[in-house]
Order: sequence, then structure tokens, then C-alpha cells
Amino acid sequence: MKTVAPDWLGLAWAAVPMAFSAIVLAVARLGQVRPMIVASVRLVVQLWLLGIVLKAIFRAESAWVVLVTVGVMLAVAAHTVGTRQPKHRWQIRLESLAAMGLAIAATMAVCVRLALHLDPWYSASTFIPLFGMILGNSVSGVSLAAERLAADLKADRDLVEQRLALGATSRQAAMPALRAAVRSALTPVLNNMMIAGIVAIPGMTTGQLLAGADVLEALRYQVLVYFGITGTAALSALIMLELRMRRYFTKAHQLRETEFI
Amino acid sequence: MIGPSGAGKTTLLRLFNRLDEPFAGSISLGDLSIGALPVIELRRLVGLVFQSPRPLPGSVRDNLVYPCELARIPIPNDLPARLQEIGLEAGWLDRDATALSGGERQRLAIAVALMNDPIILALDEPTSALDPQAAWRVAEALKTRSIRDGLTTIAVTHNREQAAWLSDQTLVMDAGQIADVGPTTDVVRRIQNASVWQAEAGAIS
Repeated sequence: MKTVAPDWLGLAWAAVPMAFSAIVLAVARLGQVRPMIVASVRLVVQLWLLGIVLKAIFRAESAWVVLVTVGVMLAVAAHTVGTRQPKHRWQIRLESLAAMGLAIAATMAVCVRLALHLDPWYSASTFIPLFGMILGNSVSGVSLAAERLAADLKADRDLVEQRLALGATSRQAAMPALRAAVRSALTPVLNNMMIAGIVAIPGMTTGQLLAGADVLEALRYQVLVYFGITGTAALSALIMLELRMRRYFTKAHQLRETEFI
Repeated sequence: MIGPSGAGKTTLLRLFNRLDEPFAGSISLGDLSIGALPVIELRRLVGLVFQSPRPLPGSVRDNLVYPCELARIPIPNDLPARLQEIGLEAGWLDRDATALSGGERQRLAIAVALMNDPIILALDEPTSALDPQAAWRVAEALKTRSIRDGLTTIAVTHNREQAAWLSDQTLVMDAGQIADVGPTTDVVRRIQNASVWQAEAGAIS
């Protein structure tokens, strides 16, 4: 099978439908022309820069370079989680760094050593894309879990305290909120697995097939990625909820009012 | 317990149940500091019913058995009687608890707190949404418990007549301090004298 990749002229051709739609939008004065141009230019520049960085990292073939790269990715991800929260941003950044770091380290160790037998384990062309895909989903899992827990505990503060007053532990008193937080964190990744191959061909499979990979191999890889994504999203959300609960409740099973003001 | 709004009545009740920690001082049960008890045990011994309790999602039965589930003790088979005790219909077990009225919620919350068989029950304005007859029924139930099981009830109220009629001891809170405490008849007399004195002082100036 011949692998086809577009050359630069090919990319220009690929841009024709978009350019045509931009002209129509401009003539009809419907707007969105400038954002479309800006987004297109940014896409090309950003991916081109990413290409330069990836090429350098792949060429280095050094464990340290790979570890520093994923460390930076993790830090940026944790920063993003904090930015989406209404308060206690730095606290949440540190907690999500710990939650995602632990979860993704465990998943990557299993995937790389036992599932893929990657040699060397830091082989960048596999390690970094895999890490990126898993981390991206973990970010939303951790954010959604933290947001939902905060919102539900705040809305049902009175019920939580009533449960505590009757002799419930913090965990028992927060159980409905915790369950909602876990559901919120896992629904997107579980839905992705539910519809994979029926409603949508997953992006990674698409990429591999376009690059000429064997179909079954590409699908096995996709399954591995989904397992890794779901496992990491769940683990990181669980660790995050555990850490958040320590902020919301004292050791004596008291709700910390100050966390909600 | 009586006193103006913001005097610290609710705060004191929350301290009894250890939902809050005192900044200074300590609270003892007999000669045992409540901090020495495991907090979950303490909360079963010292029940607390909030001012406008909201039922937990689910049926009246779900609410009643919740303390038993927490304590992992068998569910008693006298649930209908427990509703009747505080003036709710015995047949309401399978009603949606969140559909109850304010007064019904207050009584259900008391019945739920009593499921733990506490030795002290702290109630924050327990009869504020009840008509006099229903309030009387709750008071009778608590009196019966006090005679039968030795239950002590500490209730916050704004109704001075009710306080006089309900209680042996009255505690007056003002600005975070205990302004007066003693047998209810004595405390009520002192309050009346003070208000007469205040009224006279007002008339002179």
C-alpha cells in the first residue's frame, strides 16, 4: 500500500473549500472571515513549531529530554485545571499536578513496559504522543470532578451538615456530591468508548490509517489508548477528589465554611 | 435557650454537636470533655436539628432509616409509631419527604434525630413552623422521652411563653455570652423585672 502525505501544494489545494467559504462569508457580510484567517494561520504556525520541537526531541533519544518534556506538559495541564476553577486556583493547581502526575505515571508505566514493551522505554515518538493523548483527557476529568464537587457541596451544604449531625463521616455526608463528581468526570471518556467506531472513527485511528498503518494494528493501538485514557481519567479524578475532600472537611468531620465563602 | 438574633444560640448548639470547634474554652458532658469522645459517637449521643431542616432526597422512610444505616444497626420495626410520636401520620412512610411542608419537615427531622436514641437533643427553633397544637404535641413527645429515657432537650425559642411552659431550666444568651441561667421561673421573673425597670427608665427620660 502506498502511503500518501500531502505536499505543500497539496495543502494549498486543501485550503480551497475554506477559502471559498471565506469569500462567500465576506461578500454576504456574515462575519467570521477574520477569525477564520487568524485560526488558519495560527494552526499552521503552531503545528510547524510543534514539528520542530518534536523533531528535536525525537532526534535526542534521551530519557531526560523526554521526562522534561512530559513534565512541562503536566505543569501546563495542571495550570489549565486551576484556571478553570472559580477559587483556590493555586491550591487546585498543586492538587491536580499530584493527581494527574500519579495517575498518568502509573498508566504510562504499565502501557510502556507491559503492554507495548517499548525499547527503550523513553522512545519519544511513541511515549510523547501517548502521554499527550492520555493527559489531555485527564485534564478534563480532574477539572470536571473538582468543579462538580465544589458546586454540589456548596448547593447542598445544609444537607451535608444534617448528615454530619446525625453521625455521618465526611465521606458519607458528601457521598451524593462525590458520586455526581465521578459521573461528571467519567461521562465524556465513557461516551467516547461507547461511540468509538460507530458514530466516529477515532482521531488516532484516522491518523494511522491515513499514514498507511495496518487496520487491525491501528485499532489495537486505539483500544490501548482508550483504556489508558479512561484509567488515567478515573484514577486522577479519584485522587483529586480525595485531596479536595481534605480541604472541605476537617479531620473531625466538620465542613470548613471558609472554603465556600 | 432564649436571646436576641445573633446572640450565638445556634453557634452554641453547633458546638454541642461539634459541627464547629470552639476558639477558646471547652464543653463537657458530665465531667467528660466532648473533645475526648470520638466525634461520630458524640454526634449520636448529642443530636442536633437545624432551624429549617431540609429532608434528604427520598421517602420519609429513607430519612428515618438513614441514621440506622450510618450506625449499621438493624432498622427498628416501629417506624409508623415513630412518626405518630411527633404528630405525623403513621401512613406517611412512603411519601416523598421533599414534598413535606415546613412544619412537617421540622417534625420529621426531630423523628430522624431521635432514631439515634440520643441522650441530648439540641433543637434550633423546633416549632417555628408549627401551629400551637402541633408544637404542643412535639413538646409532649419530648417530655415523655425525658421521663422514659432520660432524654435532655435543649431548644432555642423566641417564644417566651413556650419556654416557660416547656422547660425546667432557661438560658439567656446575649452577644455571645450567657447572660442568665437558672430555673425557668426565676429567669422569667428576672427578665420581667428588668423589662419593667427598662420601661420605667424609658418613661423618666
